[in-house]
Amino acid sequence: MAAAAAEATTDGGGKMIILISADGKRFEVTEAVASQSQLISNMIEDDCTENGVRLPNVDGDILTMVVDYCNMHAGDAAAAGDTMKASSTEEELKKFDAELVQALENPVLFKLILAANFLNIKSLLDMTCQRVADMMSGKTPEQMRETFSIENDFTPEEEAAIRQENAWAFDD
Amino acid sequence: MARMSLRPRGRRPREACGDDRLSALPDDLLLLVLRRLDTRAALATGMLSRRWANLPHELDALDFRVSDILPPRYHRCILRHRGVMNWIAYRHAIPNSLMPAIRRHERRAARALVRSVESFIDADDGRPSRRKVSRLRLEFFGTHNTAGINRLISKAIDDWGVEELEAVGKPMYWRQPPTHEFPSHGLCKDPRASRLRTLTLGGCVLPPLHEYGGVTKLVLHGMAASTPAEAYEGVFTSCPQLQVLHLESCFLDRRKSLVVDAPMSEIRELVVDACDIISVKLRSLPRLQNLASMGTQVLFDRRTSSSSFPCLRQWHLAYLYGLARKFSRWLEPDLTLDRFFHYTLDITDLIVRFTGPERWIVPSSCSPSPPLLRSLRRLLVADMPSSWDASWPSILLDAAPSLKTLHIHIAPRDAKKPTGGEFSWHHPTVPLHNYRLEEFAMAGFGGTMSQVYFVKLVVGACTALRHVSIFKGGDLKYKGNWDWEMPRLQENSWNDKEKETMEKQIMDAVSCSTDHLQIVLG
Repeated sequence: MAAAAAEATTDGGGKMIILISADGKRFEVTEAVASQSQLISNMIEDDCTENGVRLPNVDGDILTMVVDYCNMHAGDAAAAGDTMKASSTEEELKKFDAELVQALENPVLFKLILAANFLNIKSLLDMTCQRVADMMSGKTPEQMRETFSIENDFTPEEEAAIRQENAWAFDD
Repeated sequence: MARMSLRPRGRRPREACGDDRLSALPDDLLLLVLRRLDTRAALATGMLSRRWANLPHELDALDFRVSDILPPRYHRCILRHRGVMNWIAYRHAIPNSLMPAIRRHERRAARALVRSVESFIDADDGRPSRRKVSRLRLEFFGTHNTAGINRLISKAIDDWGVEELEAVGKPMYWRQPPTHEFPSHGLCKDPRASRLRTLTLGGCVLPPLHEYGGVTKLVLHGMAASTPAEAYEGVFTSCPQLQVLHLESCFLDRRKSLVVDAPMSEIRELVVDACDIISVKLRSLPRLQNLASMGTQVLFDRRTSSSSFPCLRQWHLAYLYGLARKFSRWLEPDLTLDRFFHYTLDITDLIVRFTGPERWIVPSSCSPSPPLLRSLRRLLVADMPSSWDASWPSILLDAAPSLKTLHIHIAPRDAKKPTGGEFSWHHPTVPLHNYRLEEFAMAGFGGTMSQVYFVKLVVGACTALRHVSIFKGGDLKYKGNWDWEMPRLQENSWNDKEKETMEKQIMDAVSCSTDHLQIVLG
């Protein structure tokens, strides 16, 4: 365990990376934290993070959330070898994740999905997509439209045809 | 075609939808969401708007399961019927309307499933582009007009390139398993071109499978009772590409055994679980590595040569011997060690569960040399009734000189089941010695005399022992069929006095140097 901890500090504490959001906000994070983004991990490998990483697709407020998330989850990899430690923080992480996605307003949730996709952070993408899926399941199409402000632009004939095709969704 | 006009107008989703930022996400992200929904909810999203209409077409996994549309009222009717049937004296009190209501719900659900499936395929036939579906799961009542079901299966294999198919005929409540029949030409039109890798069939008559060269995993679950032994045997010999075969809850005429003699087979994993088959006799499976025989008697045929199973390494053996003896006393089973392990000299991992209260394995009449379990490294003896003499596994330890890990799991006492009383056990007269065992753990420890005796016996006989763990808790976890996890350490389950007594008993019995011995009481 001592060895794993020592390795984590040399690994994680070694080098800092600057992330720059679309609106110019700067975030300083360790390599270990940033590497959870496959995009940035690849950039680190290719040595192109010297002057900071510009993320023109991600706003500062969204990037704040992403960085929080990555900071929280950075312990994962280091603790993987130590099952006792992993199991003790697992609960906390789950709670953190649940609170993070529960609290989000729809537009922010969708921006977070786009950011997770762009930065290629699989666990964050999974979690946010799951949140949308949870909000959809158990609802009728009409209720889904209400939840997400989707406008029904079908003609009645089109709607009938689609309904016929997807009858499995409506039989009970 | 009307459907063509449903494509979203313009390249990008319309911005005019005000706050509708969800629809503005690109297709691949929306599909990530849809793949997290069950098939019914995912198909329902096609109704949302033009933007969504074509997305369900991209789903790569589809489930059509009749259970998903049986209404809660149906399940309430069944609970009510079961409740009354448990009290024989009150059976006359079942309302006359109950069973007809159950059947009505079943018929409605069966019809709805077939109707949905047919309109789904009809719509699909009209589309210019083909679906790509990698997984299809179908569950249906096998007794109703099932031509649509066969059509869907055939379409999935021939047109959609399905790799994983599950087609299970569900028995109607209080009825025998169905005997769904596939068309005479089989599951699809062109089996040789199919991309099928994993196939699960249930409640049906076994179709010919020898042409599905890509199928490496086959699961047969609750097949039609009329399935003859030859059909099962044919699976072993006529599908030479199969690597994994599971037989679950299958039934065979009581007068017949299943004989497995397939010297060309590639099967590496065989699971026979809860089958009502008098015995499965294994004669030859040269690639078999993992065997699980659970609730079914699997025997190695006496004509087997010891080279018939050269790859077998892991065996999960669970069997209700007590129950079998109760019903067929004239079949006095021969439970000597030799009978079980004569043909499995190279197994390294073994799980033994004899869940009947009446008997256990007894030593061979003469000690074979080399020892029968000469390669065994990991052994779990699980579900041992607490009324058994817990020192019984010492005969396995005695036959396994290379054993490194020995785990014993004692089942919690079940008040409903008769325990059969305490059993006496003729302890081996030759003293036990083992020079390799490093780890010994017992779960479900209740402090009985025989349990304490066995702990002391192991600690005294195993000179290489490093870890001894005794858990009062008995929640053993299986990881798949061939691996397991002992209970987690629980604080405070032992009081100080119990701890002190147990540790003293262990330390008094140890034969090895105590410096390296780690004792955990949890």
